[in-house]
Amino acid sequence: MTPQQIQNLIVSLFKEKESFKDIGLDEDYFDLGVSSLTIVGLQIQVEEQLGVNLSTRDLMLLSTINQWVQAYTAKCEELTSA
Amino acid sequence: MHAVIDVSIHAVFKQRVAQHAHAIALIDGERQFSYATLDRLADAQATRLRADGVGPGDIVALFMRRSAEMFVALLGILKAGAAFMPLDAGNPATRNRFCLDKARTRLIVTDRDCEELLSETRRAVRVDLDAPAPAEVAEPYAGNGEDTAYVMFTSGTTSEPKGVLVPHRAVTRLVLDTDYVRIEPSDAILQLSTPSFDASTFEIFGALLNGATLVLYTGEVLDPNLFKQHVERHRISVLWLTAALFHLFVDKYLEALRPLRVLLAGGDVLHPGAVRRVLDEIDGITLINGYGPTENTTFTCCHVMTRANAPHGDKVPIGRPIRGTEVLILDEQRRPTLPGEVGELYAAGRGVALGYLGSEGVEGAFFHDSALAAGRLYRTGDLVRCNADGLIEFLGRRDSQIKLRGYRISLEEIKARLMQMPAIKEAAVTCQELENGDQLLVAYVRADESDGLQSKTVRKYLAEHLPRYMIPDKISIQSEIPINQSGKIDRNKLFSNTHAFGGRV
Repeated sequence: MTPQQIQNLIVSLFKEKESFKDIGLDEDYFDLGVSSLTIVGLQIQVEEQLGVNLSTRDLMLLSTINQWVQAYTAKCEELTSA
Repeated sequence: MHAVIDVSIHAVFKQRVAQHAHAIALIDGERQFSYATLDRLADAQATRLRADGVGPGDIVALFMRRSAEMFVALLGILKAGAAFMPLDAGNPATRNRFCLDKARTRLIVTDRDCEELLSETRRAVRVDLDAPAPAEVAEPYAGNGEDTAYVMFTSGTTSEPKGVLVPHRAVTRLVLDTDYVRIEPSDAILQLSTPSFDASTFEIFGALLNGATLVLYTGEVLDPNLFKQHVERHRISVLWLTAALFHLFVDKYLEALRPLRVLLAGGDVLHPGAVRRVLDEIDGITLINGYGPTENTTFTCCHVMTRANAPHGDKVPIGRPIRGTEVLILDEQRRPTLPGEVGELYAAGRGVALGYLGSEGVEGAFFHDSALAAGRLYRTGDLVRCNADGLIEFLGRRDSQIKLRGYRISLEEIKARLMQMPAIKEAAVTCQELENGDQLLVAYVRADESDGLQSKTVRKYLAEHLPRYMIPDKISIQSEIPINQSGKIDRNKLFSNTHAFGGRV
């Protein structure tokens, strides 16, 4: 997947959630209210589509959609270059 | 009838060591411990603890990450005749100090720095599994079923948490000779629950008192990939999940649950659709809805389901009391209700705790009434009724306590804490159901705009005083909180306002 496709995927999965439907790419989602299980649920959905895994512990340190896009893009690139 | 009534947990463990000496008792990452090895290490630890002055009647704190060392310490504490008290590192130091003071704990077994929890009368020790065994290993304290095995804190109706004193017999009744689950030596149980949460009692002793293998989850947070690896690699056959996690996995990650023989879930209401899906899609699985307060030791009622008796209505029953527990459904005058009528659930039998720390002997939620039951009773505060099939259904709480992700929490306690912030004029705390079955804990606070109060300031303040699971997921600061005619916060209006706000603080 291209970085643009990764971004589209992550954005669409976040925006499926009622509380994130108007969220900006650089907006701190903790301000909108998010439980750790919501993060885990999004992780499962993203990884099912991308076929790469990140650790939940690292994802918990992120707070915006753009940070997710960067993290998953980097992981995908790491795997293709390896 | 029941072989084990009045012996201690560690006496039962010793029997398993004799029967299954070379079977694997515990797996912690790459390390494996046989029953014989775990027992030998625990005996050595008990000897050291006794040299440190630990003895019967003491409460020793466990402030450790999930590790083989922690379980050696836990068994060592029991063998020394004392009770263990798990402390959650996610709790603020003030709360952990409160628990330590309340229990008059003189010793903390730890694997981390905890200077702030120590005092003139309280010190910390560490566990070193490679240390040479003491020259003379003390014979374990025999103990009996009435001794306190552990202390766990639950949210009180006031702003103070309450320490529940759980005796050995309550634990043996939970995992030995039971009628809701059979755990075989060939089983492997994942230790996934936070040790300070009493579902861990089922995991730990369900494995170690039945000759099965206890597999420690090695992650610090719940990581779906790591979870699946544990289940597959160690052939986990029996697993407990809190309701929220159960719903998440059923909805998005069902394949991770496929290898299980028995799945127990509860701590909150289970959705019948999710239960039906598990039973439909995983051949041969047994799904158990486990219900019960810490005060009656992990499970009070269980409903055991297979594909043959999948729930058909709009509720998943909590079923029937487990062996060793009797329940009563009583009205407000403590008279029995008729079948089908709503009443409050009372529990009696071997699972009933000894009482709350510091209020032993006080008649409150724990009480005697020979007209109702032979021994002590515990009033759960939960409203239930018996359905047409003779199964008990959970309907809700009698007070403002709620179940959130498996934790029983008091909204009043959070509110009381918020009100202690000078900038906060008024506060309301609610729990909102999300579309995915998860819940969101939301605090609304009223502060003057001129104060410039920010949600992160409030969050930081709460984090200093409350455990992590009681920190609201969202803190909404408003210059006005709608009040209804009776002077109470108008919750309906509050929600519609939030919607208009788009959720933004």
